[in-house]
Amino acid sequence: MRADALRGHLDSLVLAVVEHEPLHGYAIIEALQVRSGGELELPTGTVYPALRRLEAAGYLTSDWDEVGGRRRRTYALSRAGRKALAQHRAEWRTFSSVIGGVLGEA
Amino acid sequence: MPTAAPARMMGGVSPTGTYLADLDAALAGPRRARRDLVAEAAGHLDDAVAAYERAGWDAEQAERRAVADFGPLDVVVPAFQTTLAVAAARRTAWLLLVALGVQPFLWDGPVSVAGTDGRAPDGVLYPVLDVAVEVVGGAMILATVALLAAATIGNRWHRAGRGVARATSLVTIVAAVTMSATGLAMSVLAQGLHPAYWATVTGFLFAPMAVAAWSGRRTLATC
Repeated sequence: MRADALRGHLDSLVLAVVEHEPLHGYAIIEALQVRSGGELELPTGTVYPALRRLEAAGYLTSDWDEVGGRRRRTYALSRAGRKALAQHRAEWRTFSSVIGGVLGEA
Repeated sequence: MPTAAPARMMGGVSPTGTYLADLDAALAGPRRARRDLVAEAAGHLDDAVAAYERAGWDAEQAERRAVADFGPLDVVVPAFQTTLAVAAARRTAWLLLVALGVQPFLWDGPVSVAGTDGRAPDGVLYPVLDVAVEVVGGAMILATVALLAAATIGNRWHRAGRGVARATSLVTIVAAVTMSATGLAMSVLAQGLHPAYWATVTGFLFAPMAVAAWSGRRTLATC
């Protein structure tokens, strides 16, 4: 799946992968790849501006931590981020159900 | 806070070192935010190289693959630069808010020109300027708060980009020039002011406005 197909969904995907535990950038990207079955094709460098934007929006918080003996900026989901993720999930279910209903074979 | 840039960045000889050096050189913006972003990119490349080496690639190939995955500079730099421009805009907006925020207290208190001899200078210009500075100052505060919101929580509904950064710069420069010029004109109209007055106006009007305008100009350069 190419980057342009992801437009508008990357934010939700990033929020979803940090839902259960704080992760640093590389781990977030790795989780995106694993959970998508390796289908996401996007320059990994473009995820970092998205992380900063989500942090500015108040959906993520970040801190520099020691991870595996290295200093890494770690991102965690904020309360506002959790609410936004729940809302995105609900919207996606509706969207998916509507489109699936129309496109699905009889 | 990030640690210092990895040693390989200094030499810039390895593929990741060269990439990070080029990335750093291509970015403009607040030094701390820029260093932070590049350090984060360096950490990512370290992890990616280590992962490829664990998968059996030799060091050179691992570095090249890590760099290729991260993305070409003509894709990554604009994205990073937008992040820096918005960060610079936030800093500029805060500086302007502080500079504007002290003005009501300043002009109604210690440097009230009318208060120096108990009455405003004769003529119509001074009262007009007095009203104008309050109206313009109030409008600028509202505009700055709106731009600051757009660059922070506004990202929930609309991605803040270089347009927001450019608007913040222009509002800041216009506000700084307008407020300083009006303050100067009012001060000149009220004759016989003592040195302490000028020191106060310089410290709490001209200097903060100059700092905000300087930050606005630098923010504009990042857009």
